[in-house]
Amino acid sequence: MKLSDSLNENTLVLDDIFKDCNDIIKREFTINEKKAVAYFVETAVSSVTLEEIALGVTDTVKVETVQDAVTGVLIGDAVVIIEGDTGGIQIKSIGYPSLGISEVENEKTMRGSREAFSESEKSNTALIRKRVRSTDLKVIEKSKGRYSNTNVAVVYMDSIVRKNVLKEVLEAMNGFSTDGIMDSGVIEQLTEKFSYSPFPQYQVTERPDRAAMAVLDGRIVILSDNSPNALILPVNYGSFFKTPDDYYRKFQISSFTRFIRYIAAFLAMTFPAFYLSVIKFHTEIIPSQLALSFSKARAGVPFSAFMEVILMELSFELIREASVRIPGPMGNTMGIVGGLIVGSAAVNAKLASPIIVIVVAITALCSFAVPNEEFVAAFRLMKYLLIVLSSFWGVYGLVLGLIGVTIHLAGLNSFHFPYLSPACSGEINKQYDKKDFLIKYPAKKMNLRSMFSSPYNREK
Amino acid sequence: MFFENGRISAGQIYRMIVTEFVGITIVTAPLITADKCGRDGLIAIFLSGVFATIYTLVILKICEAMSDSLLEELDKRGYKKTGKIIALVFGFKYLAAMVVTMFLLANMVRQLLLSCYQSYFVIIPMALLLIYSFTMDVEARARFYETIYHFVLIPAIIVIFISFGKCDRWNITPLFMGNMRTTVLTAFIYMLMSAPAEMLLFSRKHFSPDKEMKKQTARAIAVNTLFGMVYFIMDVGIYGIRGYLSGNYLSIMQTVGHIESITSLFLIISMFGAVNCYGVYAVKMYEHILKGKPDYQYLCRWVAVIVAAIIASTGVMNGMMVTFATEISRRPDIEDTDYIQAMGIDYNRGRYDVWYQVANDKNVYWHGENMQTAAEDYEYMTSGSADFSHMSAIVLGRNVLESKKALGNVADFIRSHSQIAKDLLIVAAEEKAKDVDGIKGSDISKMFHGNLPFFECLSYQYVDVVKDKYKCIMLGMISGEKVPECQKAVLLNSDGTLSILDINAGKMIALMNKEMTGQTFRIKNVYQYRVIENHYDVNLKIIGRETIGVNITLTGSIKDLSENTRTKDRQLESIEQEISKEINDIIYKNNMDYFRVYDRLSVSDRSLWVKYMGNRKALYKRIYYNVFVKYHIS
Repeated sequence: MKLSDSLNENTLVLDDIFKDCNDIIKREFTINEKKAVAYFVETAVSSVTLEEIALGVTDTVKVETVQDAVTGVLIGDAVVIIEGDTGGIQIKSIGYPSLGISEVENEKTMRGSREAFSESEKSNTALIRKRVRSTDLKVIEKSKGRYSNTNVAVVYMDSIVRKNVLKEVLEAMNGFSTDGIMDSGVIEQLTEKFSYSPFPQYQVTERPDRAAMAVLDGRIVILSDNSPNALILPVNYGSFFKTPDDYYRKFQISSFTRFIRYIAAFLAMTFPAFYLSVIKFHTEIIPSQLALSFSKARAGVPFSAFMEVILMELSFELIREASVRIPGPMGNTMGIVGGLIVGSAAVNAKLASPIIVIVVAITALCSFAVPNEEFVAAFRLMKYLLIVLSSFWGVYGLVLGLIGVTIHLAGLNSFHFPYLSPACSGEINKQYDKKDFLIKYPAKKMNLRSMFSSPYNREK
Repeated sequence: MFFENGRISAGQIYRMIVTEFVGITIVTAPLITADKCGRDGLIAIFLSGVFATIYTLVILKICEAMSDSLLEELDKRGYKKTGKIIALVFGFKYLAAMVVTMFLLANMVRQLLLSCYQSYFVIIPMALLLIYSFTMDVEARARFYETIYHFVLIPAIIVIFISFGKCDRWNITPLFMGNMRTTVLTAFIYMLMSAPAEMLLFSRKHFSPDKEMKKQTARAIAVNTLFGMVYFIMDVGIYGIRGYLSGNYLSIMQTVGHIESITSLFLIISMFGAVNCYGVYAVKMYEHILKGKPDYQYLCRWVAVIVAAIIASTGVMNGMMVTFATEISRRPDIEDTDYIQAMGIDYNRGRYDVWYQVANDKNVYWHGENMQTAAEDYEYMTSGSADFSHMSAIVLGRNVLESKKALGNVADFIRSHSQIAKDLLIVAAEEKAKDVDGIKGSDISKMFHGNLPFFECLSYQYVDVVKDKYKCIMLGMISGEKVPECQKAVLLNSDGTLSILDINAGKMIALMNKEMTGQTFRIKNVYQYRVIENHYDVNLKIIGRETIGVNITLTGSIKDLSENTRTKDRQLESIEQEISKEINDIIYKNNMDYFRVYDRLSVSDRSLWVKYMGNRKALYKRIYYNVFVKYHIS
């Protein structure tokens, strides 16, 4: 329904729509001796904006229909209807209140920016724009969610991105319908292809510098209101092991730490299973003294080795979950107390052996060494499968489990990029991506972009 | 879209062929070719690689003329029946290959990793994994092999480096010894059995048969051939041809030791790849045969679902059975296991007295009439499970060595416990094993390993050259003072006999075997000549063109001879003749090279050794034994 030039008619319609929406303010005023009415969400539109409206100095968009006017109000802008003018004016404002820009919590690095994304899509877009000051950086904004009308932005570099991928992403964004989007995770789940795989097909980050590096690499970033996490796609296996400070530090150190992460990920998945298979099936591979030491350590423990491993791992998962949920300093205390309970007291009470505490601790440390929590969470799940297989068939079961996981990963892709690249399908980019895979080459040797970028614009 | 286009690159095909088939090449190529061609197996493997390469290039040439797979192409050109016949033949071949490879793999797992499991328990999780992998498309398969390529090749190379140190160069040379016709035929047959590239015919639409493809497939075949040849050299180098053939295809893995044998896990991955590859193509063939027959396809779908359900449910049932009925539920935890570090065995009037030295400094005594029950009885006595995988030494009392029955029983005991390490030290006590029970197994090991430079020069090397089938075989004499009494090495042969080698003299000085040791000769029902010591001084002499004389001097003791000198001389002469005849009968009856004449020839007369390399039976006929008997009168 179009907005008419009659102020009374328009206000009647809008008043009816906004009936009982007490947070939506209606303000009447005069512009150039003409009556005008402004509708806005009280906390989303600041007094600065109202002054600018009065001065006539604002960032505006014309709205023609009632629906556009309503949407404009709901997304946090002000909509002004002026007597005698057909349609209305949507005036950009600071948007809904949010936490603001804070320090990175979950992706800490030794070097690099400390800024984290906020919960405002506009602020987040600005944070990327701050780092990529180019008109080639495009931002396509959409409103998603039938009732939430959440602002979602698709950010990319026009000359670097693969157009096919972009087209597919935009189609995927248009291809779902939902009531509301409370976090970018909802978008991730509604657009990913392999829903049943525990391995993530998007990379999630709270760091603007990482998002900026991703767009410069030809990838696409999706930002959503109400979410401090940006989605980066496409991804591959190697993406989850890279951190921004790999590119800020010397290549020798970066290579070493990255290699450690790969080992950590492998151990996070296989260490308990390997321990179980060795002490149950293959004690001959360890020295006699060590076997004896294990034997003495386990003497008096009432549970079988399998039960012991499972119980300790589940206990650690409980502590991990509890410490995340408990607020503030109590969370830290919980970690310490939990560790004391599980570690020391359980050993003293002969409920667990010291060896298993070490195994669980090493496994946990390894899982924390991997930079991406969603990615390592999949490994944590696989760990239990491997524990069960090892308890039945020892190292043979472990190897079969690893083969199964590899087969699964080989079948995954992220917007048609093989998940296991660049370990496989390296010829997509003439094996260049292997320079930034297990180890990282010096920056001077890395003069091409990765396989995610357009093949016509690979040179940096 | 751009990467999901159903096509695989030349590089991916290279990695697929190598990863899928390197394991099976290593396992089967040396054994098959050595069996048929002896030392010329090396040439056979090389030739099979050449034939396979030519075959592949021909296949790729055929592929150039096609745009689709061979079967689709035949259908398009109106040769449907021919296509189905080809599909049937190849389908059967791939199915058979898949089944054989799966059982090879199960056997390997049982032998190396899970000795307590039945084959089908080991096969079931493999089958379930295969069904899962069959759901992947060809691109996913290619990515899988591309990813695990290094995880297969690197351990294979590590095994090479570890094992080459154990090779004996005399076993490796010379080459080009056998029948060329047999060698070429074997190479051709092996190529037909294992040519992986023919599967390219059935995957034509997934690749381009360009120059790069030809180069990469030839490279893959060359890599597999090279691995086959290197493993052939290693297997023969360590065991010799006869020893290798009398062993099994996993001997090389067991040789490298326990920890290194975990690198054999690469074989599981590679052989899984081979099973997967054969299985996928077998399914493709049968799908083609049933194509266009909707009823059959409908039926097949249901059969597939039912089979999968049966496997899954039996997998679950077997999983439960595995839990309750197999070792897993009875498998003792590490704290309930007693690690035996050494055993001492004495034999006294049909009874074995055994002491076990356990890792926690506990000594356990057992006695029984059969060594086979020794391990089981241990568990009854101590309520702990005996684990022999960390045993470093077995001490044999003299009475064991002198009793053929006891010796055989002990040898059977060692053979039946596959977990016993290859580097087990077998030591003889001066008198009774019980006398040395104060010495720890680890100390015994250190004692002899400390002297190994002497043993290594001769006995270890000699042991490797002689090569029995099973266990490490080096034995020295020790006394209660913890000092090796003398530099002797005793070999436990595969037939249960022992040979004693005098290190200092560098020659075999004794042979105790089931027939000779403890044997009492009755000479004309009058005298008793009891052999209490066997010392054999062996000298080779080439007589005429190729007759080999072996002079053996046997020392023994005699009792109850006549007091009269002339009569005594006649008696002794008669004894000498009788014993010579007995020894000659034993040697020729058993047709065994007790005195290692063949290996001595490799040192003394190389050309003769080379000549008889492939035909030892002919050599035995040329050996003439002269037996001289020296005796002590007791």
